[in-house]
Amino acid sequence: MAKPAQDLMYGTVDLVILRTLAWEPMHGYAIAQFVRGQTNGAITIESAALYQALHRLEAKKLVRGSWGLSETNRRAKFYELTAAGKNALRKQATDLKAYIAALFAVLDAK
Amino acid sequence: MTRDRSLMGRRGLRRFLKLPRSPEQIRAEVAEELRFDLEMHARDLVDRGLDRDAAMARATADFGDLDATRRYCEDLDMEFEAATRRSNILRDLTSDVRIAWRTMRRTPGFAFTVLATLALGIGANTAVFSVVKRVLIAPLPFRASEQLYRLYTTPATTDGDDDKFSAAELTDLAAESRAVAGLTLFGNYGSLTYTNDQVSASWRSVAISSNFFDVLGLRLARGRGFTADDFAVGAPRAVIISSALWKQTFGSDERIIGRRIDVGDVSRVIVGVLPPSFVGPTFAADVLVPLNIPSLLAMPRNARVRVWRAVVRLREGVSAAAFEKEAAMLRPRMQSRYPTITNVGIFLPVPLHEAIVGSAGTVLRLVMVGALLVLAVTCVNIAGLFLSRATARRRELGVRAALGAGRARLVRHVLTETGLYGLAGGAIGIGLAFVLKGVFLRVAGSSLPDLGPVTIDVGVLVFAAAISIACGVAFGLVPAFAATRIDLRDALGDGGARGSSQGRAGLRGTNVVVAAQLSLAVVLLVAAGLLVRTFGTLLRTDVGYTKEANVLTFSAYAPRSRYVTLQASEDYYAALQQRVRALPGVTHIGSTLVAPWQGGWQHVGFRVEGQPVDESSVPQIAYGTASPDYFPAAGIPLRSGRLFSDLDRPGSTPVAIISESVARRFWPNGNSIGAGVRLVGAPFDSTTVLRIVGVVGDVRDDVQSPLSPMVYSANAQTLGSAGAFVVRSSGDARALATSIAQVMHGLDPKVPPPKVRTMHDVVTATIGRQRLAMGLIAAFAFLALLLAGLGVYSVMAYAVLARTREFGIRVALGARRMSIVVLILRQGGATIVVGAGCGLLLALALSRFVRALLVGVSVHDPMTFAMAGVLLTIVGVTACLVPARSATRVQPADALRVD
Repeated sequence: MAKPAQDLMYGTVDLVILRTLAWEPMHGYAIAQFVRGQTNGAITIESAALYQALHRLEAKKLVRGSWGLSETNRRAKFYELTAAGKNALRKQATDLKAYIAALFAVLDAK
Repeated sequence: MTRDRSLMGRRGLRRFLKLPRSPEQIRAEVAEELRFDLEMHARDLVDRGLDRDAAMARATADFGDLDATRRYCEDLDMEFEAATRRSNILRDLTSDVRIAWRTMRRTPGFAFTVLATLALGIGANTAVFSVVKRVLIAPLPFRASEQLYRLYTTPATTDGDDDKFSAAELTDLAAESRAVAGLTLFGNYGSLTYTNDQVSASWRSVAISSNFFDVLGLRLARGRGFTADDFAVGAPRAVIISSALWKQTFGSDERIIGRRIDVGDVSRVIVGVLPPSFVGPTFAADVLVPLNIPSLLAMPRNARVRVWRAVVRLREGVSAAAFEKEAAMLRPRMQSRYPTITNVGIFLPVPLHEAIVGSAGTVLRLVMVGALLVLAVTCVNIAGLFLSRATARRRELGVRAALGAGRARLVRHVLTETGLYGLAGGAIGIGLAFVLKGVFLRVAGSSLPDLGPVTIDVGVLVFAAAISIACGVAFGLVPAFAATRIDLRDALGDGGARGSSQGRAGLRGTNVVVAAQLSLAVVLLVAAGLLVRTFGTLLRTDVGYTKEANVLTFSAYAPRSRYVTLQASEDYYAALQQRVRALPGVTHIGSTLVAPWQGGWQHVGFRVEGQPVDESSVPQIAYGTASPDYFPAAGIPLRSGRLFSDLDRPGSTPVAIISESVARRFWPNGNSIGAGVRLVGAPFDSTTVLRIVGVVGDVRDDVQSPLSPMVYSANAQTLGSAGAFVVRSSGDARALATSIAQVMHGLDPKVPPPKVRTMHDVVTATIGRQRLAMGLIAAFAFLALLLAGLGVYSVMAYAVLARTREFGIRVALGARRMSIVVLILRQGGATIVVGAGCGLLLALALSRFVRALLVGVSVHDPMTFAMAGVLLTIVGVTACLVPARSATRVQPADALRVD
């Protein structure tokens, strides 16, 4: 690894999880792997934060957990996006993009 | 990634079944999930060359705070689980309520019957028990009120009061008894006239000794009680006013203490205001005035006159029996001290609560039993309704069970439905309770002691509602349990409609329920019948004077502050009589000192000239005065001789009229006319000899008291004798009442306005207790009859429905419609006969409990029992005929096509 991986900023963990689950239902370890793979290891989610976020999202009914078999034939808890989760993802992504654009407008100001 | 759909399915099934995850399960799942992560991570590390132990250690380190995460996830999941469970319960409940609501709307007759029954049962019971609790159960608003007793004695004469003592004996008792912690005297002080610049009003007053509030253990709302200083020379006369008076007459004046008012013709200063919860030991009072015991005791004659009532507070732990025993020991000394007082020193304590409630307690207890019977009928009715309906719904429940509804689901469904009925019925019942309480108190009027405002008792309400709903639940559940056991083929096939063996068993159950209802209704009918007959007897009782509604009576009082001399007040009364006589429609107006219906007759010693008399026991006879027109106006008949006339004037021969029992007693040979008598204690010189000029009928001072011997002197020859008037009219008495009030106002607006009543009202008011008992029990009996009728109807209607096909076949085979009616009547008739029979036997056993309230009718009056049986049969048969009529209209084709 060229650079040490960056931990996600607080508040963006939920968004990253929701976006990842938009691809397909996954278990927690798969989500972490997916994020690392997508960012070439630039962003990692600490497992503790990941599972706390998953259970939080489940309680908010944005994701739904259910037990299934993993690729290694072990029982694993899979998470899938609910309808409410899809809406939340759309909204949060839009908000964050707008925020970042505004942030850059300041940072890049000449 | 592959996933196992069947496992998903199981999770889904679990969710579908709404099986909650236990805390252990949640912990296990969280642990498994986190372990899975760690092991996956470790496996990747092993793939990259680490050995197993190092890989596991590394994975654990990379994870972050494992314990905190586990706890966090467990907490969140448990909360989530609980929230899910709550929302599921709510969802099921709304669905159950929706189904129940649909069922209710589909069967409006059933719904109406159930709601009406519940509301009436709950409402009537709550109202009655709230009153009962206030009057009979709630303690008096005094400190340690169980230690307070009213004192009674053995009266000196048969018509003397049994609760009056002399100040001397009471003071001695208080001083010498060790059982007595405190003793207070009080007495009726009559009505006092209050006057200010604008108005005057008549206030009821009671005289109390200065330790009154200490003995009762009561704090005044404002100001103070009386003290010895109130009797000091030159001290202003003190008065204590009631809370109602303070609010109404004085507009809740904050600075009322110290205010001077004119009451009873003297100026008095208000020193205290009674609390709103005040309950007088005997009398309702607007004002209390102080009783000067030392000055009473100072004059032997006043000290020994027996006019005072007493309340004692016994020392803590001292029983009434112990007090009685001690009093008996003190008696010989009192007898030697006061030889002139007959029966001196006999003190019989009665708990103050009992003394205040008195005979109204009997009525209330009866009414309470009546209400309980109605509650029983209500419960039985609700049970019967649900039982018969549930039997009819076996089919529906069978279908639900067949579709997979578990027992729990069916039970919950029934519970929801019953609960819904309970809530709605209870809500209407609460409303009804308030209405009925008002009606009850209005009907009761003054027959109930005023122990403060009656509030609807929540405990009673909940109890009545709970017990009636519980009945519905119990009987509604039977079929729900049965449904999970029943043979589905039976229920779905023809069992529901044709009356299989189970259906018949259900029907037998409902028949028993209806018979029970009918017998309870009979019991109430008998009680009501006995009371109605008593009331009739009382109304027919000859009181000796008229009970007509066209005869009016009223009292007037000329305040002494305005009519200083007796002559001035005589002139006022004369002017008043003259003006009233001039009113259109008035045929007679008579006046008297105290009318019999006002009670409080004065008694005089009756000495006949020329007849020897035992000086120690001069016969005491009730005494009144009369104007010439008093007897014809009041409807008292002249038996012999003549009435008073205008010629009987102050200067002429003093005359008297006696009632027939006096004539019989003193002149057995019938030569009373012309005899001379002296009246000791009448408001003229006791040496005056009066000539008897006439004999009139006896009168009673109330419907239930014996005819009373009486002697009258002429109004015109007795100073200060008017006050009560009797007006006989040929026209509308109500209009005349208004005119009389106007005449009085016109003559002198400062004289308090009169309370004009018809003689009919006067007489019925004296039997208020019987009227109250009769009215309420009759209402309960009617209610029970109505409910029992509904019960018969609902069972018969169901039976007819269940046998529709059978009737259709019978008609198709040529049965006459009449024979079907007979068939149904025979079925219902059996229930009615059994119910009525059991009820009459029960009534026979129970009717002695109303004996205390009966007058002139036996507790086993055959007429009443027969009428109750007949009335019940009529209602029962009518209730059968309605469904029977619909049975005769069954078209064979329709009946056979059912299902």
